[in-house]
Amino acid sequence: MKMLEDTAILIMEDSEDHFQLIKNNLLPTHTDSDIIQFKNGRDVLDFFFKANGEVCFEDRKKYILMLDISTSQVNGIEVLKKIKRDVQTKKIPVIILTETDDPDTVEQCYSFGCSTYIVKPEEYQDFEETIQKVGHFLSVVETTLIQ
Amino acid sequence: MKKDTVILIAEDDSGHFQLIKKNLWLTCVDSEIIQFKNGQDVLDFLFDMDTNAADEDMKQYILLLDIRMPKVDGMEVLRKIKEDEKLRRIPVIMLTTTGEPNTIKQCYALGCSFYMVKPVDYALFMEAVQNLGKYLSLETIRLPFIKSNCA
Repeated sequence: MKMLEDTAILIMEDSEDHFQLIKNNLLPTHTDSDIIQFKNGRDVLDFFFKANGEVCFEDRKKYILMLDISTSQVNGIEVLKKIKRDVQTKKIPVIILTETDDPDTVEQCYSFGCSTYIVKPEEYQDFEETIQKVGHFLSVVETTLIQ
Repeated sequence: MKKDTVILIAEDDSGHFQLIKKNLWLTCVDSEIIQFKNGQDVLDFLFDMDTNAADEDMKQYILLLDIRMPKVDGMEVLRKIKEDEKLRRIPVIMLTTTGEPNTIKQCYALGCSFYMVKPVDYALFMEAVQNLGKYLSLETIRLPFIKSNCA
């Protein structure tokens, strides 16, 4: 069994309900991972980048990022671009999880380097099942330290 | 997953390919699956595609990529795909026996979507592929369209 305690799943999600649903359904497969909420893109960027542009992160942590690109303030696509442009943070797999179901946005996110684009299912139960499958998949994925 | 999705599998070990195909079919029955036995064959397939073909010939591709393969290895295949303006949108999932941290790091730096290590245990290997299959067959997953003349 893979050691997941050094993994942090960062979730940019401004809806408290959606964050709780995502977290609750990731927990069975990620009991030992940190699951951290960010309410907007600014906070995600502040987490990784210092004011002088340097990257800061914990040495022994591996990260997975889930982005709701419809979240306001700093646009989620801008976060994706910035994360994927930096030589260190580009190694973080980014899953787009959003209400936006627009083909051009999908193409754009893949060209900027997202790992997968998933539209949030409208039905509560479908949403839960989707996240559980994401969790099961991530439990067989290896991630990397980013420095 | 939609019927126009094609799963490309670069895998020279036919036992592994059969296991992967069988367990993907259990979870995403609708997708076409194409095997490539070495890295050069994948590159030939992708780079020979007419990326200016008509809209109706657009397909969605996912590539499952082994690293140790004859002719061109998986990391070189990954590098070439991710350097290409159009092909770089294709999600590439590494599926390989090597779990060496530096290799994992390099593959993410080159732009792979995910990195999976093939479990040595047969049952665990099947389970891992099924988890992948269930993820790829999520009804609301969206993939990029790449134009193709291989319709």
